[in-house]
Amino acid sequence: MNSPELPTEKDLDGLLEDARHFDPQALAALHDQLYPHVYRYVCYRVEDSQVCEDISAEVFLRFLVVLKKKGQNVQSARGWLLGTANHLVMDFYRKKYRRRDENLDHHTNLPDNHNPEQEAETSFTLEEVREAMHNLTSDQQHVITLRFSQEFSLEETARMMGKSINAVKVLQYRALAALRRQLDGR
Amino acid sequence: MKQYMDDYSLFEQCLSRLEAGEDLETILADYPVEAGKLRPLLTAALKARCTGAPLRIPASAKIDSRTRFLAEAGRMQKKQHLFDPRLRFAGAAAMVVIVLLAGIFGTGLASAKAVPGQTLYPVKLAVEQAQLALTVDQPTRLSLEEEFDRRRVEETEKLSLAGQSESVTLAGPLSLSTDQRYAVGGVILNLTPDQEAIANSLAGSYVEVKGKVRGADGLDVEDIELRLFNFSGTLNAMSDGEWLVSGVKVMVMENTQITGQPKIGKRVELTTLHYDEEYFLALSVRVTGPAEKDERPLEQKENNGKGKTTLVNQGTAENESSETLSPTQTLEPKNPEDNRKPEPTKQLELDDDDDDDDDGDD
Repeated sequence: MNSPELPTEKDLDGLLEDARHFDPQALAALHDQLYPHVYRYVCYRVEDSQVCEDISAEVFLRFLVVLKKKGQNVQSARGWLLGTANHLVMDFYRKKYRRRDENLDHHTNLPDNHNPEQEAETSFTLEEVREAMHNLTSDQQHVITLRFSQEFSLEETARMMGKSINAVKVLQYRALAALRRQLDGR
Repeated sequence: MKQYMDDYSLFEQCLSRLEAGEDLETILADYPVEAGKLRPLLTAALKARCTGAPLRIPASAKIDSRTRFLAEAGRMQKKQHLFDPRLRFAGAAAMVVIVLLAGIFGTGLASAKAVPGQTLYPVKLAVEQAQLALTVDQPTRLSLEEEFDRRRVEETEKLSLAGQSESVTLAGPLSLSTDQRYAVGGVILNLTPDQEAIANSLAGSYVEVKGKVRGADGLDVEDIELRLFNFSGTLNAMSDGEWLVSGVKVMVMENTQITGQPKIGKRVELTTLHYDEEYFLALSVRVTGPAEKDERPLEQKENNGKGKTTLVNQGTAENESSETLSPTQTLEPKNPEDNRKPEPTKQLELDDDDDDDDDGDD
């Protein structure tokens, strides 16, 4: 189930080094390799495909600012990008819920390019999970998305979140317990 | 505690097996004791997981994002390059000046909140002067001057709120308050009838006001004049009544006094009024010769023994000519000859406020 094009952290570290010097080729390669991760991450959490595209693009623009200002602090490009994607998604929902109070039930536009039958089934569950996730903490949402949007391993997740493996084990356990409670409560 | 850790590890083990494609019931059968606890969590995981089916990424989205990403990177890098050679020097010089000043006065950034009358206030002004002197980009420098003008207004507002009495000089657009009194920013001006007549003719203009704050009663005005901005730079473009001088938009009118033959690429010195956010209105223009191309390095000159630093910056590349701006406060239109002279500064008086100990430092 792992994405076939998963670049290794080593490949990425090399690219990150060149990207710090704003080498256009390294920047383009870094973008192209990591865009799928960011896009999948965001789409897991947000239904509207236009919003997914906007947030994903914004994540990369913010990455430039960090590369320029304090590039030294970025340990894992992928970890930073997905962490930022998490924050932007949280912001998006904060703003969205501040703006409106209508219910969400009729907001199930299906993403394009899918087998409609399988799509309906998948989309229904995805929408359920998305909504149930809103009441989880930011870290809980992040860990669930990392583990289940594209199945990063426990080790990869720990590295990207800058936490120990044990801490992530505890976090994901609690996150799923909280998700379960939310799903049951619906 | 260990028991809990085991739960977490056990759960992770089950998750890995699920990921590897094992059936939920098979996994749970291996842990009959914990099955009751694990089942709801693993079904939640399954629900979350099955949604992670590979999602096709629209090629257009990826290309759009890459285009924006690289364009922004290019823009940021260009900006960096543009500033690089000089800014490194200017930045270093600015640091030296600030560190020196901070050392001399044993302060640091504490001066930033100082208001007139406080011991640190001259430091604040000196740091501002250093900032101005070390800013080579003309539009930035002019907006810096305006920023400093705004600070003078804010300081006066603070003094007024604190009920203090202090001599101040401030500048900004002259406006009419709701009760038909003249004001600059939030500072109400107390004007004599004569001054009122002057104010009537200056309403809306960018003016400079000298006077004494009288607490909440506003500012007793001693002097009110048009604020002039003097600067020099390279004439980049000329069209009907509109010039571009080192990036600054200047309106040139029929009655603008022009000395010399203005041509694109030549160096000009201007005395201007602040017309609006975008434009300056030239009162006089003096053409001082071709853009200088000699390679003299940046040099700093000490002027009139008062510690005012003027950066004389001889251009090092084509089209980047010498730009000298004296942040002056000329109160009436002058003969442009005068603009070359460094003004006795309105702000940098390092040695006269130190004995005012009536109020302490921030």
